[in-house]
Amino acid sequence: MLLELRHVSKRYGAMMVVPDLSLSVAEGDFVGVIGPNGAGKTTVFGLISGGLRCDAGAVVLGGLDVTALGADERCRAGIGRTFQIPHPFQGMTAYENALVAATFGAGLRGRQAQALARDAIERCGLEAAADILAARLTLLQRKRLELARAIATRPRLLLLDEVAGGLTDGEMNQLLQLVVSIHRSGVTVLWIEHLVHALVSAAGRLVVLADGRLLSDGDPGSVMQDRAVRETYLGSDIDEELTHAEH
Amino acid sequence: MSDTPTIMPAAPNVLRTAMLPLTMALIGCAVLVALPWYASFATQRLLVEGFTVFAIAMAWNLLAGYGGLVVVGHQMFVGVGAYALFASSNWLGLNPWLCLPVAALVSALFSLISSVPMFRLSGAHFAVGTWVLAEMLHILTLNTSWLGAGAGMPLEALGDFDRWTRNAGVYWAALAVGLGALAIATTVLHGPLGLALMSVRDNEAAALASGVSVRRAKLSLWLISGTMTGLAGAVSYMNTLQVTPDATFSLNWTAIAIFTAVLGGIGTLEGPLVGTVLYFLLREVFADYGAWYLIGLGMLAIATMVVAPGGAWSLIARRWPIDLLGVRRSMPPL
Repeated sequence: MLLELRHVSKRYGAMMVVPDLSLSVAEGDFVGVIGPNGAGKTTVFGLISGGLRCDAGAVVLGGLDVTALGADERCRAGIGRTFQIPHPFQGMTAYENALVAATFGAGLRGRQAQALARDAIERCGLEAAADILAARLTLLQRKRLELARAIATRPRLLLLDEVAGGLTDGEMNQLLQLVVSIHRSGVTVLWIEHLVHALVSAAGRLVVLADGRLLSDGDPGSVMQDRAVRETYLGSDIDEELTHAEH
Repeated sequence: MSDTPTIMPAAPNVLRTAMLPLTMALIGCAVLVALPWYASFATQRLLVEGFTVFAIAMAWNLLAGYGGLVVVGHQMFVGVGAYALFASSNWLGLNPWLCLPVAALVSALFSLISSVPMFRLSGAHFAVGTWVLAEMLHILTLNTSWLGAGAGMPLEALGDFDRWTRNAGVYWAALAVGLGALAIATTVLHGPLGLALMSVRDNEAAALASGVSVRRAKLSLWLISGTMTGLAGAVSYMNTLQVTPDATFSLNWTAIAIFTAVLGGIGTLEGPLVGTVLYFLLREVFADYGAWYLIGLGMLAIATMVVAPGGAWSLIARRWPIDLLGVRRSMPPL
């Protein structure tokens, strides 16, 4: 297993967000993560990436217990992530954003770091914007920059938190192709997205979270037929999403 | 400049490393090095102050402007460096110039040790914490008889040198400190540490998620700035020949560093340079006005923060597209 969550829990004050979650992800998996608002999806990503500390339980990456490690150490151990709301380094150019990740996340220096940053920028279609300050990028460019920075850390496990939110269908498809190609290059992908049809078409496995619990887990087709899942999504939405996906 | 979407790419970098500026820099250095042969002692002493204040302001600017570490007790490094120089030279009877590395070493060691309690604090607590530490050192020196207590110490070994050698030697040391501070700051910001610091300044969570060890970056910066300030403090007190707890651990040092950095532009390499020049111009012209001069300085600092928070350098950079010591990294062509 590349990633294992063992009885992980997290509370914010009196509010229990993740009561007791166990989850395993194999090397090479492409896992879609869905669930209603407030299901704890982003919190779980925080617990995996180390941005948040678990109250209890363990996070294991490739057999190594990383629970006590900080976010920077987990990144260097192979966990790359994007943020739901883009967090670019505003005062730096797009290329410099990727260079930070290549230098510290991937641990490269000099020309090697430059080449990796350049490659990440190009793969994410940001060549034309490479020398523009991140603060001046458009929303789509910022979303792509999140992805570029995450892959420039050379992750084994890539956590994508709604990278497609707010994009048009055409932009969404481009992004989907990009993520699929990253996955094919050997990166394990965990992807939170509200646009269920996108995940159903690309992911080999779908995980449904509700109230911080695992509601359903399996291949996308059978998960979407799951009664509990349908009830959570109030039925109608899901039919619509699935017809969309079958197109 | 601020409305241009693209950052000046490779061209200025090529220009910057081209022959003309290099030649000019070399001529400038030669003029400065030869200064004791054609300038008065008063001019030399003024420049010693200028170079050391620049180094101290640059160190403060690195911490506050690049590391987000707003230090209010910056004088602690000045005091530690100066006392280390005076004590080691007096006790061992050594040439004070040979003791400058000792002062740097002690300052580095002090920075390392002080980072342990200081880095447990953050934001305003950190700022006040550094002030408290500086005051503790002030009081500690006041009560330490083997450091001369309240009366301080003279630098005895300096009396062995004739006036010209003494003045020129201190001047050259200050010149080295000033140019060294500029060189070190530029090198640091062009290197991986600069990249890390700028990412942390822009977004700490994203920096961590990109593998940047925020703690290590801040500690490195603290060590570099503390040592730089300690050495500048040591050279600065070679100029006055006497250390006392009240002067050496005075909050004035921090006030001057903040004023200089704010006036010139926090978070730029050029800022402390411009700020130092402005500060000394103002002082030489208006210092006779006493209290009014200080009130004027304060008003000017406040006005700068309100009207041009980027300092004088931001006004210059906005008007002319110059990137003197720019740290921008453009994407290399394939």
